[in-house]
Amino acid sequence: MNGLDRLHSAPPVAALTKGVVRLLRIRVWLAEHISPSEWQITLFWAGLVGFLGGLSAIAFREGLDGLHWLLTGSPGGMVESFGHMPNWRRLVTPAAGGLLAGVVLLLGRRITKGGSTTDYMEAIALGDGRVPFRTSIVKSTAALCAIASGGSIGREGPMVQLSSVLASLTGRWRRLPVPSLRLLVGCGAAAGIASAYNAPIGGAFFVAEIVLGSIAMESLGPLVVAAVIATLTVRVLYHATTLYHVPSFELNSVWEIGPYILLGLIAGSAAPLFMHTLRLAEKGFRSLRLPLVLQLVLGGLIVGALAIWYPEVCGNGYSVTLAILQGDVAWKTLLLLMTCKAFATAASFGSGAPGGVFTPTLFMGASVGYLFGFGVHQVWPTGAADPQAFALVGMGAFLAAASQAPVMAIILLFEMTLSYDIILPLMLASTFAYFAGRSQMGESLYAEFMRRKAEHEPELRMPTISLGQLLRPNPPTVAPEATFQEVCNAFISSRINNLYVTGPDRRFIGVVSLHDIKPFLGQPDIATGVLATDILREEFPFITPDTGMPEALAAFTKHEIERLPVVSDAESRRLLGSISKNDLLVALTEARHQAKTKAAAKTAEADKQANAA
Amino acid sequence: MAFTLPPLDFTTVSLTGSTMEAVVRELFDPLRNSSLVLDSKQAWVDLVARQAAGSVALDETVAVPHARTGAVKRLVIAGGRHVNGVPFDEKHQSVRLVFLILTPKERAAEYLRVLAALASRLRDPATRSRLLTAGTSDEFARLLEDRAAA
Repeated sequence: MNGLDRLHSAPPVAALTKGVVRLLRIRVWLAEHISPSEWQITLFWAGLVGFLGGLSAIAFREGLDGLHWLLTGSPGGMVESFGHMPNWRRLVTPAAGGLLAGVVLLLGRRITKGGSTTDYMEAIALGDGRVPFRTSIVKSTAALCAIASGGSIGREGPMVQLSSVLASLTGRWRRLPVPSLRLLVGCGAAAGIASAYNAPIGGAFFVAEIVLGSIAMESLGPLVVAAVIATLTVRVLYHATTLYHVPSFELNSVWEIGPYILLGLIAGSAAPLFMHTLRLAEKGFRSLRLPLVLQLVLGGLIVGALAIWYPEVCGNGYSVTLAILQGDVAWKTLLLLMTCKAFATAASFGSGAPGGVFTPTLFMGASVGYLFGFGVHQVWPTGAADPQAFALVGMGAFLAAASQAPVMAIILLFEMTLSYDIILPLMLASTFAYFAGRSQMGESLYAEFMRRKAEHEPELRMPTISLGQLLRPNPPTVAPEATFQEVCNAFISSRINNLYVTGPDRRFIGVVSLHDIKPFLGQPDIATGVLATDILREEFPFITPDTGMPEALAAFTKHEIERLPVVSDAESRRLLGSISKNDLLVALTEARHQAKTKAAAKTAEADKQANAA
Repeated sequence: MAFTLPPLDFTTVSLTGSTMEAVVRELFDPLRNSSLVLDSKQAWVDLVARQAAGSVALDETVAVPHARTGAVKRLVIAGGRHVNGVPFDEKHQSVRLVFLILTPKERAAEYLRVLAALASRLRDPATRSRLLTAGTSDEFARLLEDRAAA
């Protein structure tokens, strides 16, 4: 055999190498044409979380209907069921629900063994994105009992909690770093709101505005995907439609704008009052020093007693709100009903029944709006031609003031009613309500809740994310002596663009860039003469765990890379892992929000001290 | 994708060494005193280190001893032929075409580019056999310089 013949009968090792190089060529082609990028993967998981959120919302509603039927013997709506009950049963049913909820919470304490009580909002805004599974299940089950038995409290709270816990579990299973985990829990919350109110935009903006404090596309994008998928899931599987069917409203005369602004100011002042009542009730119940079960039974009894005269106080207030919007409730009845409903919500919330106050807030807003609109109509018909439209605007204004999230309130209202004509007065009134509310209460329902929580659990307070926390350990590496085949194998088995080359003691030496070798993948016959060291980029940037976030971001903007290697220190350069640009951007968005919140808290504290002095 | 092979800086068709090291030294010696290599000691150390790290043979007949080194500012390439064949490692016992390549340290893909260009020339059996039978160094160098003329 002469030299030439030998050349063409390649030995098996060389053939194998060529095979691997060809495989890498296919993988690069796929990566460029089909394979998802990092943000696409983020959106995929957001979508999955949205789907799970939609399913959990359906499951919760089914559970609620089942338990409601068991407790009341009626399959209908809350107010309808209570309307058909004898008085004694109206009194006893919410109390029985309170008893059940209390027992569930007590038994739950044994299962959770003093574990954290973190809920989704803390997990996103204060904690590490871990929503405890058992506690959430216990809380949601207790909420199920309290709500199904007629407690005057919203069902959206537990729905959001359930959806968030599923998101947290998904993220932990994926081993996401803290900021991405928080974002995914945010997606869960957005999915929860979206499926509870059939309002995907509102759900996404609720989390963006209140919890994350940013509408940067890095965080809003995944929230939108989760919310939309959740809404679609509920629509397809549960045939959900627009929540509040309202007659079409319009601005009858430009003169109406004045009363609408006034309504905004009134709602903005009334909302803090309502929140204050809820807080007072909570304090009042606590001062009784009753065991939790008895406290919940007492709360149920108060709701039950009110239900003897006004069964409308039971539940989240949805059906009555609907009746107000249709103009089916006389103003005198409504005045009484609003007062009773406020008491009932205070009793449920104050006694510790787990659930949301979102929907009750909407009820209060509709009542205030209608009563105001009716009053104006009596003295000046041109100023308020249609009091029902005022009810709708009142809902948005009240919610904007109570939640201190006017954008979310406007969008949510629009989505729930799909009544576009009302958007002009709605926007104005919500904005005025927001400012009026802010000057009165200083902080929203949610901000206050989180501040109190942070005071009780100092370790939760404002964690600043360090680069070390974003680190993903064990990136694939090769030795400088690695053959071209080994390099190709590493690129095939993991989705990276730069393969880290490390020496003894994991010392970071440089990278082999897929970009560099890509043009040569069509020539597998060169592979045998190439080692990693031949194609190494030594001047690749790296960071250490104590690098500041701005410096890390600067490194990302200077070089077009998706990941940066993290080494122990510039001297020994021991490779610890890598951080991704995506994780860093999410963390920076958060850090900005935290700085803002901190500054706001400081100002509020200073104001308080100044007032006290 | 076609890659252009830069002209050889030095050529010899009469390599005689009986070991890999001797052959590489034969190719390297003329470069030692040329202005192309700024620090010949460093360049040699880098060449030897690369050979110790792993095989430099491309196939049964061809080997490319090479190094990325701070000792050159631009790519330096020397080509040579061994009439009888010399063993480079266990699997490559009769290497006859040897190309010594030095590339600047900061250019990661430069070596790959030259290697790809070289391999595409050598893929043609006619070119390969003419390289093996070329009478003079000039003829050898020209065969690689311009494929169309060859």
